[in-house]
Amino acid sequence: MPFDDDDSPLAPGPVIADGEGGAAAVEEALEDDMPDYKLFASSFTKKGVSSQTIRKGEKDFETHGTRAQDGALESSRRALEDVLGYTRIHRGDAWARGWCFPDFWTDEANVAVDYEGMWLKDRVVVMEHEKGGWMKDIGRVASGSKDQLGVGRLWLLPEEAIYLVERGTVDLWWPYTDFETLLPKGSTSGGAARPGFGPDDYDVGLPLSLEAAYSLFIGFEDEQGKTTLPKYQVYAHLKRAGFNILRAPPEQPRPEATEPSQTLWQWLFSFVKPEVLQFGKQRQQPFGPLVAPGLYRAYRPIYQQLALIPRHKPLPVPPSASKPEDPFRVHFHVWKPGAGGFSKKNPPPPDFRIAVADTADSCLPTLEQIESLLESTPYDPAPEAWRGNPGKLYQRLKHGHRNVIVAVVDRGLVNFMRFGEGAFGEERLFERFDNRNAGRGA
Amino acid sequence: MEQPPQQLIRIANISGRYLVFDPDAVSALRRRANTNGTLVGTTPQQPTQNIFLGLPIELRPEEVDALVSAGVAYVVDDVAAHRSALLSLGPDERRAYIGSLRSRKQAAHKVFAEVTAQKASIAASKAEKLRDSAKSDGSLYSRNSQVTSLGVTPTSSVHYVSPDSHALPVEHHRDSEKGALCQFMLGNGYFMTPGLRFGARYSVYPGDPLRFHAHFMANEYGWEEEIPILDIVGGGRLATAVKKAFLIGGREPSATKPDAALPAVRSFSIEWAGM
Repeated sequence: MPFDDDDSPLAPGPVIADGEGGAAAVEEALEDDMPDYKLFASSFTKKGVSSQTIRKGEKDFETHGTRAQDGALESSRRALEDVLGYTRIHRGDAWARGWCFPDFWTDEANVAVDYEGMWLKDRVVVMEHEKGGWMKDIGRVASGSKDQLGVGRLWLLPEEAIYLVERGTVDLWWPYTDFETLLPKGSTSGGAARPGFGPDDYDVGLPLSLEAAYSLFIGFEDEQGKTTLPKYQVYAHLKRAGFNILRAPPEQPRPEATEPSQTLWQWLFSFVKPEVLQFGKQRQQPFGPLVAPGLYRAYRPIYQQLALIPRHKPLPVPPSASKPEDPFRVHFHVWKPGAGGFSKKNPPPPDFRIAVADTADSCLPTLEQIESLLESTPYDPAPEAWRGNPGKLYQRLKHGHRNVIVAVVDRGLVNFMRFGEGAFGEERLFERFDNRNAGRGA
Repeated sequence: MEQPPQQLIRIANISGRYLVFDPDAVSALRRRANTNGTLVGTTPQQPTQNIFLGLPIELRPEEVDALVSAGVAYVVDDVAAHRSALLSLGPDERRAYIGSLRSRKQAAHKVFAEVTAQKASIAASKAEKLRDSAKSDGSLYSRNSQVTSLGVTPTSSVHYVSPDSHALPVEHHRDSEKGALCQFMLGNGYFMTPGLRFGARYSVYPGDPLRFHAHFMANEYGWEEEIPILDIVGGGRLATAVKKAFLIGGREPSATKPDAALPAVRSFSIEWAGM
């Protein structure tokens, strides 16, 4: 549809002259830069983000040099380039600016309440505006004395900041003036816009690109105020899928598994060998048949004699706790979307616990690694309703007694593997053999 | 080191990861160097899905090695480049960057105006058809003229980080044992994507994966490396099951000439005979 000048509702946007540049130069640059304009046009209409528009029709086995094939490939590439050429635009009504202050909380002069799960020293971006529904699980408000700078504001972790910039929610700025000027004490995020601090006022700071956000917040393992790329990729994958996700608080030193106090009788009996107590159960001899000769009227005593190899028994409180180490350490707590009662301040027990491993530098976890990883999660046996029900045997085995998810990242591709503490020794099939109707096998 | 020429593609090294943010560079990689990389970012147009991802793309270290030694791309330390650009941005760069932001805003304004005008005229013509009254026009326009202030977040930093600052020196043969197969396949015009979904290191395509099916699932081995026969059976069966061949290859150390453009690689394709 042709553009009619008379209908134009908009005068050109307010342009504040910057030195000798001015609006004329901008206008000229715009004329020269027509492809950019086309790009904008295609990117504002939100069509085209689907594999169907990008990959038209069935794929081919190999090139056969026809113009049709070249044309199909070219149009696919164009569609992809159109989608990737999108520029993130923040409209005035939804504009939410975040300021980058990576070292703010590591500075001794700034004080706020820090506690486990707050990760105050890792919080690197402070929000000037708080708009939108994304704050359900993202960001925490620094609490403390009202006359401290930064208190009462929403602060973001590095992965939260990149994600919000990447999805086009937050306009991230680098400050060129001090914190107090930008965000004075006691001012609230809902306050009216102050003159001199709008989206066109580049004296106080500069908007950052997505690339800058990555370069500022992606780091190596254990760098303060940064996250690693695989961890960010797992975080963003789960956020895109709609999950609520928080960093797992650091492991609590587990209370020592105290021995239940013994009574005198128990103590005395502990000197008596257990075989003597187990009446009617013959012990294995080092020679002779595995099953002692005799008359058996049930399967159970036979199977009990056959059980020679000790089996793993999951315990609610594991005896010795070794500290899980990276990468096999729970890094994220994840909640299913839509479940009521989620609060980032007092999160309920998570639905999933996730560790992040990268294909480039990790192998299958060793027994010690997977054991300490599993033991760092709470005891979580199969639900009560499944117990004792032979039909639920496989569900029980699959569920395990503890479970953890390891996200394996191969250059951006995320793959989730669930590790459960299986216990076949807890599923004694032979106990059922004796319960069968008399007559069978007789 | 000498300045890389402008037409080289800039790859950002951020804490040991290789990323490309500029959409033009991404399409140049795809068109000129048959490298598509893995799209790893959230698409801002549709941020609640994991099927179609957006910028940046992530490249494997061996892909980067191949691109650098083929003279297509260069690597910069993007963390240091941004740090120095942000802490000491010269007045000219600053003005240029602000100018680029302004022109984008203007373009966005124009598009918004056009779109709203289009909507308005469609709505107006509908209204006219329905009951021949022009009453609704005024309210439509006043609502649409609210778009005044805009913020812009560029994807890449090309406008304020000078493209060749903190370029990293070319590291030759960083890991000569592994990476030769990747270089060899790319040099022969094949495209590669991670093979994670099909149980191998690479999926190898005869052309752009946008248009073609993969032909091979490929793994690289060292020349003297013992290969468990079960790997061959497993890889062969997996690849054959998805109508591809399993490809193994490795660098032949004695045959490599230092001046050759591509490493001497022996490769074999394996198919499960299914007899």
